[in-house]
Amino acid sequence: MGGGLVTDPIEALLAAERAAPLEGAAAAKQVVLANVLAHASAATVAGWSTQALVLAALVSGVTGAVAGGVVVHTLNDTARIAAPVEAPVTLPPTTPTEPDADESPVETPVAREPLDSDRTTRERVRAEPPTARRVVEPARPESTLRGERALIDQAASALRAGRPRDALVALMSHERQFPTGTLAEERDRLSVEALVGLGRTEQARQRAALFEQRHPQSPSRARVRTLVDGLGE
Amino acid sequence: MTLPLTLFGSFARPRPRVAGCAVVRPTLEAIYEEHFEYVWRTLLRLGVYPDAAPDAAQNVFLVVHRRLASYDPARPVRPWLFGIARNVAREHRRRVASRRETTESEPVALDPRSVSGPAEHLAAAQIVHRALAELDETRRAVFVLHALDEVPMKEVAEALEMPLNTAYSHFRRGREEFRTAATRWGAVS
Repeated sequence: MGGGLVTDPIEALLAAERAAPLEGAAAAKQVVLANVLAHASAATVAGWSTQALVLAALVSGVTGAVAGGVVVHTLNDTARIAAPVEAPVTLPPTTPTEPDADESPVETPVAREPLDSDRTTRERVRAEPPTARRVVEPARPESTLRGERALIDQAASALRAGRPRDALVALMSHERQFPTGTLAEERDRLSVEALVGLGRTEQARQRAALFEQRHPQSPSRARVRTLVDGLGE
Repeated sequence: MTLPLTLFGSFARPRPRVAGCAVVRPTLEAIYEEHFEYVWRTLLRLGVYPDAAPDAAQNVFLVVHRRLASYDPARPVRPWLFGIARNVAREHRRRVASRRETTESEPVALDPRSVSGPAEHLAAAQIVHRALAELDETRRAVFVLHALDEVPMKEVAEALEMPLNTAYSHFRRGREEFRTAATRWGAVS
Protein backbone atom coordinates (compact mmCIF):
# COMPACT_ATOMS: atom_id res chain seq x y z
CA MET A 1 0.00 0.00 0.00
CA GLY A 2 2.84 2.35 0.69
CA GLY A 3 3.30 4.03 -2.69
CA GLY A 4 6.26 3.37 -4.91
CA LEU A 5 5.07 0.20 -6.56
CA VAL A 6 1.74 1.52 -7.73
CA THR A 7 2.13 3.67 -10.80
CA ASP A 8 -1.47 4.40 -11.69
CA PRO A 9 -2.38 7.49 -9.68
CA ILE A 10 -5.98 6.35 -9.27
CA GLU A 11 -4.92 2.97 -7.94
CA ALA A 12 -2.48 4.75 -5.64
CA LEU A 13 -5.22 7.08 -4.50
CA LEU A 14 -7.54 4.18 -3.70
CA ALA A 15 -4.76 2.39 -1.84
CA ALA A 16 -4.16 5.52 0.21
CA GLU A 17 -7.85 5.71 1.06
CA ARG A 18 -7.79 2.12 2.26
CA ALA A 19 -4.80 2.92 4.43
CA ALA A 20 -6.32 6.06 5.91
CA PRO A 21 -6.99 5.92 9.64
CA LEU A 22 -10.64 5.94 10.69
CA GLU A 23 -10.81 9.04 12.82
CA GLY A 24 -13.28 8.75 15.65
CA ALA A 25 -14.26 5.17 14.87
CA ALA A 26 -12.54 3.61 17.87
CA ALA A 27 -14.17 6.02 20.28
CA ALA A 28 -17.56 5.55 18.67
CA LYS A 29 -17.14 1.80 18.80
CA GLN A 30 -17.12 2.03 22.57
CA VAL A 31 -20.58 3.50 22.78
CA VAL A 32 -22.61 2.65 19.71
CA LEU A 33 -23.28 -0.96 20.62
CA ALA A 34 -24.34 -0.03 24.12
CA ASN A 35 -26.77 2.48 22.68
CA VAL A 36 -28.17 -0.07 20.29
CA LEU A 37 -28.56 -2.59 23.10
CA ALA A 38 -30.14 -0.03 25.37
CA HIS A 39 -32.59 0.84 22.66
CA ALA A 40 -33.33 -2.81 22.07
CA SER A 41 -33.68 -3.64 25.74
CA ALA A 42 -35.98 -0.77 26.42
CA ALA A 43 -38.10 -1.96 23.54
CA THR A 44 -38.14 -5.63 24.49
CA VAL A 45 -36.48 -6.78 27.70
CA ALA A 46 -38.04 -4.17 29.90
CA GLY A 47 -41.35 -4.81 28.25
CA TRP A 48 -41.64 -1.42 26.65
CA SER A 49 -42.78 -0.98 23.14
CA THR A 50 -40.75 1.18 20.83
CA GLN A 51 -43.60 3.66 20.74
CA ALA A 52 -43.57 3.87 24.52
CA LEU A 53 -39.85 4.47 24.38
CA VAL A 54 -40.21 7.25 21.90
CA LEU A 55 -43.06 8.70 23.92
CA ALA A 56 -40.99 8.53 27.08
CA ALA A 57 -38.15 10.29 25.32
CA LEU A 58 -40.49 12.99 24.16
CA VAL A 59 -41.98 13.43 27.61
CA SER A 60 -38.56 13.72 29.18
CA GLY A 61 -37.82 16.43 26.71
CA VAL A 62 -35.41 14.95 24.24
CA THR A 63 -36.29 16.74 21.06
CA GLY A 64 -36.27 15.26 17.63
CA ALA A 65 -36.83 11.79 18.98
CA VAL A 66 -37.49 9.39 16.19
CA ALA A 67 -36.69 5.72 16.20
CA GLY A 68 -32.95 5.43 16.31
CA GLY A 69 -32.46 9.10 16.88
CA VAL A 70 -33.39 9.10 20.52
CA VAL A 71 -29.87 8.62 21.73
CA VAL A 72 -28.23 11.07 19.42
CA HIS A 73 -27.32 13.62 22.06
CA THR A 74 -25.82 11.12 24.39
CA LEU A 75 -23.95 9.47 21.63
CA ASN A 76 -22.47 12.62 20.24
CA ASP A 77 -21.48 13.88 23.63
CA THR A 78 -19.93 10.64 24.68
CA ALA A 79 -18.12 10.12 21.45
CA ARG A 80 -16.77 13.61 21.53
CA ILE A 81 -15.58 13.28 25.07
CA ALA A 82 -14.18 9.84 24.56
CA ALA A 83 -12.24 10.61 21.43
CA PRO A 84 -9.08 12.04 22.97
CA VAL A 85 -8.96 9.18 25.43
CA GLU A 86 -8.86 6.68 22.65
CA ALA A 87 -6.17 8.29 20.58
CA PRO A 88 -5.05 11.86 20.91
CA VAL A 89 -5.25 13.07 17.35
CA THR A 90 -2.74 15.71 16.48
CA LEU A 91 -3.69 16.18 12.88
CA PRO A 92 -5.80 19.05 11.79
CA PRO A 93 -9.07 17.77 10.39
CA THR A 94 -8.89 17.10 6.70
CA THR A 95 -12.61 16.89 6.36
CA PRO A 96 -14.57 19.76 7.79
CA THR A 97 -17.56 19.05 9.88
CA GLU A 98 -21.21 19.33 9.16
CA PRO A 99 -23.23 19.83 12.27
CA ASP A 100 -26.86 18.91 12.11
CA ALA A 101 -29.08 21.91 12.05
CA ASP A 102 -31.26 20.52 14.83
CA GLU A 103 -28.35 19.79 17.13
CA SER A 104 -26.93 22.17 19.63
CA PRO A 105 -23.94 23.93 18.11
CA VAL A 106 -21.03 21.58 17.66
CA GLU A 107 -17.65 23.16 17.59
CA THR A 108 -15.38 22.17 14.76
CA PRO A 109 -12.95 19.64 16.14
CA VAL A 110 -9.72 21.47 15.62
CA ALA A 111 -6.49 19.74 16.53
CA ARG A 112 -7.34 17.97 19.71
CA GLU A 113 -5.51 18.95 22.82
CA PRO A 114 -5.39 16.76 25.86
CA LEU A 115 -7.64 16.81 28.83
CA ASP A 116 -7.89 20.41 29.97
CA SER A 117 -9.41 21.91 26.89
CA ASP A 118 -11.59 18.88 26.60
CA ARG A 119 -12.85 19.32 30.07
CA THR A 120 -13.91 22.74 28.93
CA THR A 121 -15.77 21.09 26.10
CA ARG A 122 -17.45 18.78 28.52
CA GLU A 123 -18.48 21.59 30.76
CA ARG A 124 -19.89 23.45 27.86
CA VAL A 125 -21.82 20.38 26.82
CA ARG A 126 -23.14 20.05 30.33
CA ALA A 127 -23.85 23.72 30.68
CA GLU A 128 -25.99 23.83 27.58
CA PRO A 129 -28.37 20.91 27.53
CA PRO A 130 -31.01 20.99 24.85
CA THR A 131 -33.52 23.62 25.83
CA ALA A 132 -36.48 21.29 26.03
CA ARG A 133 -34.70 19.02 28.46
CA ARG A 134 -33.85 21.90 30.69
CA VAL A 135 -37.43 23.04 30.74
CA VAL A 136 -39.11 19.71 31.26
CA GLU A 137 -36.89 17.90 33.71
CA PRO A 138 -37.17 20.20 36.69
CA ALA A 139 -40.94 20.02 36.41
CA ARG A 140 -40.94 16.39 37.55
CA PRO A 141 -37.85 16.00 39.69
CA GLU A 142 -39.12 13.27 41.97
CA SER A 143 -40.44 10.96 39.32
CA THR A 144 -37.30 11.57 37.30
CA LEU A 145 -35.14 10.59 40.20
CA ARG A 146 -37.28 7.54 40.83
CA GLY A 147 -36.79 6.50 37.23
CA GLU A 148 -33.08 6.99 37.53
CA ARG A 149 -32.93 5.13 40.81
CA ALA A 150 -34.83 2.16 39.40
CA LEU A 151 -32.38 1.73 36.52
CA ILE A 152 -29.33 2.13 38.72
CA ASP A 153 -30.68 -0.31 41.32
CA GLN A 154 -31.51 -2.75 38.56
CA ALA A 155 -27.95 -2.48 37.27
CA ALA A 156 -26.41 -2.83 40.71
CA SER A 157 -28.37 -5.94 41.57
CA ALA A 158 -27.62 -7.46 38.17
CA LEU A 159 -23.94 -6.87 38.86
CA ARG A 160 -24.19 -8.48 42.28
CA ALA A 161 -25.96 -11.44 40.70
CA GLY A 162 -23.14 -11.87 38.22
CA ARG A 163 -25.09 -10.61 35.21
CA PRO A 164 -22.92 -7.76 33.94
CA ARG A 165 -24.58 -7.76 30.54
CA ASP A 166 -27.98 -7.04 32.07
CA ALA A 167 -26.35 -4.41 34.20
CA LEU A 168 -24.86 -2.74 31.16
CA VAL A 169 -28.19 -2.71 29.39
CA ALA A 170 -29.80 -0.93 32.33
CA LEU A 171 -26.90 1.49 32.60
CA MET A 172 -27.01 2.38 28.94
CA SER A 173 -30.70 2.86 29.21
CA HIS A 174 -30.01 5.29 32.03
CA GLU A 175 -27.39 7.06 29.99
CA ARG A 176 -29.78 7.47 27.13
CA GLN A 177 -32.65 8.75 29.22
CA PHE A 178 -30.68 10.75 31.78
CA PRO A 179 -27.35 11.62 30.19
CA THR A 180 -26.56 14.20 32.84
CA GLY A 181 -28.85 12.83 35.51
CA THR A 182 -28.44 13.03 39.25
CA LEU A 183 -27.07 9.51 39.34
CA ALA A 184 -24.76 9.88 36.35
CA GLU A 185 -21.69 9.40 38.49
CA GLU A 186 -22.95 6.14 39.93
CA ARG A 187 -23.94 5.01 36.47
CA ASP A 188 -20.51 5.73 35.04
CA ARG A 189 -18.81 3.87 37.87
CA LEU A 190 -21.07 0.84 37.51
CA SER A 191 -20.50 0.88 33.75
CA VAL A 192 -16.81 0.31 34.34
CA GLU A 193 -17.61 -2.54 36.70
CA ALA A 194 -19.97 -4.10 34.20
CA LEU A 195 -17.45 -3.88 31.38
CA VAL A 196 -14.78 -5.40 33.59
CA GLY A 197 -17.22 -8.16 34.44
CA LEU A 198 -17.81 -8.79 30.75
CA GLY A 199 -14.10 -8.96 30.11
CA ARG A 200 -14.28 -5.97 27.78
CA THR A 201 -10.95 -4.71 28.97
CA GLU A 202 -10.37 -2.00 26.45
CA GLN A 203 -13.85 -0.60 26.80
CA ALA A 204 -13.54 -0.71 30.56
CA ARG A 205 -10.40 1.39 30.32
CA GLN A 206 -12.14 3.83 28.03
CA ARG A 207 -15.03 4.17 30.40
CA ALA A 208 -12.70 4.58 33.35
CA ALA A 209 -10.91 7.40 31.59
CA LEU A 210 -14.25 8.89 30.70
CA PHE A 211 -15.26 8.65 34.34
CA GLU A 212 -12.23 10.68 35.37
CA GLN A 213 -13.05 13.31 32.81
CA ARG A 214 -16.68 13.55 33.72
CA HIS A 215 -16.30 13.36 37.47
CA PRO A 216 -12.93 14.85 38.34
CA GLN A 217 -14.04 15.54 41.91
CA SER A 218 -15.60 12.17 42.57
CA PRO A 219 -14.54 10.27 45.68
CA SER A 220 -14.93 7.11 43.58
CA ARG A 221 -12.09 8.00 41.24
CA ALA A 222 -9.54 5.83 43.02
CA ARG A 223 -11.97 2.95 43.16
CA VAL A 224 -12.69 3.18 39.45
CA ARG A 225 -9.02 3.36 38.68
CA THR A 226 -8.36 0.28 40.78
CA LEU A 227 -10.97 -1.58 38.76
CA VAL A 228 -9.02 -1.24 35.55
CA ASP A 229 -5.47 -0.96 36.83
CA GLY A 230 -5.03 -4.67 37.34
CA LEU A 231 -6.40 -5.64 33.95
CA GLY A 232 -4.17 -7.38 31.45
CA GLU A 233 -4.39 -6.85 27.73
CA MET B 1 -7.16 -7.53 -8.39
CA THR B 2 -6.21 -9.83 -5.59
CA LEU B 3 -8.40 -10.38 -2.60
CA PRO B 4 -6.80 -9.85 0.79
CA LEU B 5 -8.42 -12.52 2.88
CA THR B 6 -7.95 -10.75 6.16
CA LEU B 7 -9.84 -7.79 4.83
CA PHE B 8 -12.54 -9.56 3.00
CA GLY B 9 -12.80 -13.09 4.18
CA SER B 10 -16.42 -12.97 5.09
CA PHE B 11 -17.52 -11.26 1.93
CA ALA B 12 -15.80 -13.64 -0.38
CA ARG B 13 -17.53 -16.92 0.31
CA PRO B 14 -20.52 -18.19 2.15
CA ARG B 15 -19.53 -20.28 5.12
CA PRO B 16 -19.43 -23.92 4.11
CA ARG B 17 -22.22 -26.02 5.49
CA VAL B 18 -20.96 -28.97 7.46
CA ALA B 19 -23.16 -32.00 7.03
CA GLY B 20 -25.53 -32.32 9.93
CA CYS B 21 -24.59 -28.95 11.38
CA ALA B 22 -26.77 -25.91 11.10
CA VAL B 23 -24.88 -22.74 10.29
CA VAL B 24 -24.70 -20.74 13.48
CA ARG B 25 -26.32 -17.35 13.36
CA PRO B 26 -23.83 -14.72 14.46
CA THR B 27 -24.83 -12.51 17.36
CA LEU B 28 -25.22 -8.79 17.10
CA GLU B 29 -22.15 -8.40 19.30
CA ALA B 30 -20.04 -10.66 17.10
CA ILE B 31 -21.02 -8.83 13.93
CA TYR B 32 -20.40 -5.52 15.63
CA GLU B 33 -17.02 -6.51 16.94
CA GLU B 34 -15.79 -7.82 13.63
CA HIS B 35 -17.38 -5.42 11.19
CA PHE B 36 -17.81 -2.08 12.93
CA GLU B 37 -14.84 -0.56 11.14
CA TYR B 38 -16.05 -1.91 7.83
CA VAL B 39 -19.45 -0.32 8.36
CA TRP B 40 -17.84 2.97 9.36
CA ARG B 41 -15.57 3.04 6.34
CA THR B 42 -18.40 2.07 4.03
CA LEU B 43 -20.56 4.90 5.36
CA LEU B 44 -17.82 7.43 4.65
CA ARG B 45 -17.40 6.07 1.17
CA LEU B 46 -21.10 6.31 0.53
CA GLY B 47 -21.22 9.97 1.42
CA VAL B 48 -21.79 10.18 5.16
CA TYR B 49 -19.83 13.04 6.70
CA PRO B 50 -17.30 12.01 9.34
CA ASP B 51 -19.05 13.74 12.21
CA ALA B 52 -22.33 12.06 11.31
CA ALA B 53 -20.69 8.65 11.14
CA PRO B 54 -21.37 7.67 14.78
CA ASP B 55 -25.09 8.24 14.36
CA ALA B 56 -25.15 6.58 10.98
CA ALA B 57 -23.25 3.56 12.32
CA GLN B 58 -25.71 3.36 15.16
CA ASN B 59 -28.58 3.37 12.72
CA VAL B 60 -26.95 0.60 10.74
CA PHE B 61 -26.60 -1.60 13.80
CA LEU B 62 -30.12 -0.86 14.94
CA VAL B 63 -31.27 -2.24 11.62
CA VAL B 64 -28.89 -5.19 12.00
CA HIS B 65 -30.43 -5.86 15.38
CA ARG B 66 -33.96 -5.66 14.04
CA ARG B 67 -33.31 -7.84 11.03
CA LEU B 68 -30.89 -10.34 12.46
CA ALA B 69 -33.60 -12.96 12.79
CA SER B 70 -34.31 -12.81 9.09
CA TYR B 71 -30.68 -12.81 8.01
CA ASP B 72 -29.59 -16.10 6.43
CA PRO B 73 -26.34 -17.00 8.19
CA ALA B 74 -25.29 -19.20 5.29
CA ARG B 75 -24.77 -16.03 3.28
CA PRO B 76 -21.77 -13.77 3.75
CA VAL B 77 -22.38 -10.94 6.16
CA ARG B 78 -20.66 -8.03 4.48
CA PRO B 79 -22.91 -7.70 1.44
CA TRP B 80 -25.80 -7.65 3.86
CA LEU B 81 -24.15 -4.94 5.95
CA PHE B 82 -23.26 -3.03 2.80
CA GLY B 83 -26.91 -3.02 1.75
CA ILE B 84 -27.99 -1.66 5.12
CA ALA B 85 -25.23 0.94 5.16
CA ARG B 86 -26.23 1.97 1.68
CA ASN B 87 -29.78 2.69 2.78
CA VAL B 88 -28.65 4.58 5.85
CA ALA B 89 -26.19 6.62 3.78
CA ARG B 90 -28.87 7.40 1.23
CA GLU B 91 -31.10 8.72 3.97
CA HIS B 92 -28.23 10.77 5.36
CA ARG B 93 -27.43 12.31 2.00
CA ARG B 94 -31.05 13.22 1.51
CA ARG B 95 -31.11 15.08 4.80
CA VAL B 96 -27.99 17.10 4.21
CA ALA B 97 -28.12 17.29 0.43
CA SER B 98 -27.90 21.02 0.08
CA ARG B 99 -25.24 21.79 2.62
CA ARG B 100 -21.99 20.17 1.65
CA GLU B 101 -21.04 22.77 -0.90
CA THR B 102 -21.26 25.64 1.50
CA THR B 103 -19.63 24.09 4.52
CA GLU B 104 -16.75 22.03 3.26
CA SER B 105 -13.36 23.31 2.32
CA GLU B 106 -11.48 22.19 -0.72
CA PRO B 107 -9.37 19.06 -0.39
CA VAL B 108 -5.64 19.62 -0.62
CA ALA B 109 -4.03 18.62 -3.90
CA LEU B 110 -1.57 15.77 -3.72
CA ASP B 111 0.21 13.21 -5.84
CA PRO B 112 -1.26 9.89 -4.71
CA ARG B 113 1.82 8.00 -5.85
CA SER B 114 3.93 9.56 -3.17
CA VAL B 115 1.63 9.78 -0.16
CA SER B 116 2.78 8.35 3.12
CA GLY B 117 1.70 8.69 6.70
CA PRO B 118 -1.73 9.16 8.25
CA ALA B 119 -2.13 12.83 7.35
CA GLU B 120 -1.58 12.25 3.64
CA HIS B 121 -3.68 9.12 3.66
CA LEU B 122 -6.48 11.16 5.18
CA ALA B 123 -6.04 13.83 2.55
CA ALA B 124 -6.21 11.16 -0.13
CA ALA B 125 -9.30 9.68 1.49
CA GLN B 126 -10.94 13.09 1.41
CA ILE B 127 -10.33 13.37 -2.31
CA VAL B 128 -11.70 9.88 -2.83
CA HIS B 129 -14.84 10.62 -0.86
CA ARG B 130 -15.43 13.90 -2.64
CA ALA B 131 -14.98 12.24 -5.99
CA LEU B 132 -17.26 9.35 -5.02
CA ALA B 133 -19.94 11.83 -4.06
CA GLU B 134 -20.18 12.88 -7.70
CA LEU B 135 -20.98 9.41 -8.96
CA ASP B 136 -24.43 8.16 -9.66
CA GLU B 137 -25.65 6.16 -6.67
CA THR B 138 -25.59 2.75 -8.34
CA ARG B 139 -22.22 3.31 -9.98
CA ARG B 140 -20.85 4.46 -6.67
CA ALA B 141 -22.01 1.26 -4.96
CA VAL B 142 -20.43 -0.89 -7.68
CA PHE B 143 -17.22 1.11 -7.64
CA VAL B 144 -16.89 1.08 -3.86
CA LEU B 145 -17.40 -2.67 -3.67
CA HIS B 146 -15.09 -3.56 -6.52
CA ALA B 147 -12.38 -0.92 -6.51
CA LEU B 148 -12.15 -0.16 -2.79
CA ASP B 149 -13.41 -3.32 -1.10
CA GLU B 150 -11.84 -5.45 -3.83
CA VAL B 151 -14.85 -7.70 -4.07
CA PRO B 152 -14.83 -9.85 -7.23
CA MET B 153 -17.24 -8.47 -9.79
CA LYS B 154 -19.38 -11.60 -9.76
CA GLU B 155 -20.08 -11.11 -6.08
CA VAL B 156 -20.65 -7.41 -6.58
CA ALA B 157 -23.34 -8.28 -9.11
CA GLU B 158 -24.90 -10.75 -6.69
CA ALA B 159 -24.79 -8.35 -3.77
CA LEU B 160 -26.42 -5.58 -5.77
CA GLU B 161 -28.77 -7.96 -7.52
CA MET B 162 -27.87 -7.06 -11.07
CA PRO B 163 -26.59 -9.03 -14.07
CA LEU B 164 -22.83 -9.37 -14.27
CA ASN B 165 -22.60 -7.41 -17.51
CA THR B 166 -24.57 -4.58 -16.01
CA ALA B 167 -22.24 -4.50 -13.05
CA TYR B 168 -19.22 -4.34 -15.35
CA SER B 169 -20.78 -1.56 -17.33
CA HIS B 170 -21.54 0.44 -14.17
CA PHE B 171 -18.01 -0.13 -13.00
CA ARG B 172 -16.39 1.07 -16.22
CA ARG B 173 -18.43 4.23 -16.31
CA GLY B 174 -18.01 4.75 -12.60
CA ARG B 175 -14.25 4.42 -12.86
CA GLU B 176 -14.03 7.01 -15.62
CA GLU B 177 -16.23 9.42 -13.72
CA PHE B 178 -14.23 8.80 -10.61
CA ARG B 179 -10.95 9.43 -12.42
CA THR B 180 -12.20 12.71 -13.80
CA ALA B 181 -13.60 13.84 -10.46
CA ALA B 182 -10.55 12.77 -8.46
CA THR B 183 -8.28 14.67 -10.81
CA ARG B 184 -10.42 17.74 -10.45
CA TRP B 185 -10.46 17.40 -6.67
CA GLY B 186 -6.69 17.51 -6.58
CA ALA B 187 -5.25 14.10 -7.24
CA VAL B 188 -2.35 15.02 -9.49
CA SER B 189 -2.11 12.54 -12.32
